[in-house]
Amino acid sequence: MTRVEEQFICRYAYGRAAESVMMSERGQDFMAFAIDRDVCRFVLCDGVGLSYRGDVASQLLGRGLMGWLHSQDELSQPALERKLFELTQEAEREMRSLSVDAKAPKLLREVLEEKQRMGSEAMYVCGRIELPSRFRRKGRLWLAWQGDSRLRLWQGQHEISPIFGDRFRTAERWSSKSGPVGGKPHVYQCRLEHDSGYRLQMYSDGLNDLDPMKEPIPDDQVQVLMNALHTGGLEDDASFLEIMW
Amino acid sequence: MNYTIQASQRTPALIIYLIDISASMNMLMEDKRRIDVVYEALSLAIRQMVFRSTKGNRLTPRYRIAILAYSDDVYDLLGGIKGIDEIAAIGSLPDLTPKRFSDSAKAFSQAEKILQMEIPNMQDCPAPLVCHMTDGVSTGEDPEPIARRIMSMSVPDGNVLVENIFISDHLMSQPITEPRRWKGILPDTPLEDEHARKLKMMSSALPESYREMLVEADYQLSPGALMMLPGTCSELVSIGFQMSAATPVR
Repeated sequence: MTRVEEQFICRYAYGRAAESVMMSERGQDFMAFAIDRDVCRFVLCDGVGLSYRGDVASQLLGRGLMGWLHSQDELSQPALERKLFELTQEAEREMRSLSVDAKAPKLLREVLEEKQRMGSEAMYVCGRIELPSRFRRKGRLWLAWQGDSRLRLWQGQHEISPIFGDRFRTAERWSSKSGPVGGKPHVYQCRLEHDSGYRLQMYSDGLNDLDPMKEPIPDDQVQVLMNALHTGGLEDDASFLEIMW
Repeated sequence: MNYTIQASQRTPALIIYLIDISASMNMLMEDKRRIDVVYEALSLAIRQMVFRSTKGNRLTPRYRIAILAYSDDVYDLLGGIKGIDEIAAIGSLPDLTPKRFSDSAKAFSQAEKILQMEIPNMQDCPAPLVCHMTDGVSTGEDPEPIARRIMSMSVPDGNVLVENIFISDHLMSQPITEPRRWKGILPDTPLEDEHARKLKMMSSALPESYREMLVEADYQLSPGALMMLPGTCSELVSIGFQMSAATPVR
């Protein structure tokens, strides 16, 4: 668990599935945030394990979205959708450069090649927080997502996550082959009524033990979940990002 | 007890196939021998398990499989339980050669012994599944009491599941014209054949988690459907084998 304190306080943690640790493999989640004075942008991607190399999709998508969130003055759903399609071109080049191990058993090779043709997939949550400034009387929050990664918001002690609606669906994701899958990206945006007292939390479904927890979770408790000693390690990759301002 | 534990390398699913290789499996279905239809469907199910077990470029052994072919005797085609990675390394399944009779009680009995050995070590794993494929009346003892004992065995995830695929043209009163739209056999679905009614009594209810997996694959089975498939065409036989591999995975 790591904490960064500037105008925003960010806590983040990342853990690989026990299976990946055992095999010395990289995780399939990708998480990033950047604080630029009064603006914080962030992304959390969960590579789809059943797709071909979910780590490739989550990393490529995550980097692409971070760049896009930085480059856009005004964020919008149509612009995001265009970006998600645009990213498929780069992703397809990347996918073509990957090869299936020729020494793998024939059945495995055939399945991997079939998966490669179907593309790599990732779910994502991303957004930008703009604090009030000389040019903005009120702060602004812009969020977008596809998939079942969790996104929760508190104002003071009150969780106000229902404002995002029941729009977190496992069947929705980004595909390196076809862009948004299962529907268009979901977007939530608002002016921030208060200058401070917000807590925005996001985590991949590997940390679903956090779902019932409404109170702020101490760092060491998050670490306990990451260590997952009760199950002999994490069953899935897990990433956690919390931004307070 | 809700069949939600996911098959993983640490908690693999165990599937035991019981395949009838009696002489009648030489009969034709859609211009192929029934045994060949079954072989193809089983191979496809194995491929599906490989598909659901790959992460990155690696095959993680999320499934463990035993294949028992039976006639008047039981033949352990894989020589014990094998991981899906070992089966993929072999490349293809052993041949299924039809023989004479159809003593399913012997096959269920052997499956029971396997489960008695395995279940103590499977407490964190998905509930095991026995998938029985037959095309006719059992010629040996009544298999139902053994199947019932198997269905009463359990792990914390749920009771052992028993699925039956019955290849027959005389099972349903109405033909199934669109397998993908078919709602499945429900507890009150009338069946034309006495043996089919017995197999129905030996079939578990389809767990919701399995049903969701099948819905994702565009099959419209109803809540409450039984794990019983009438093998009136190759697609239904294939759905049956796909059902056996629908253990939840991440």
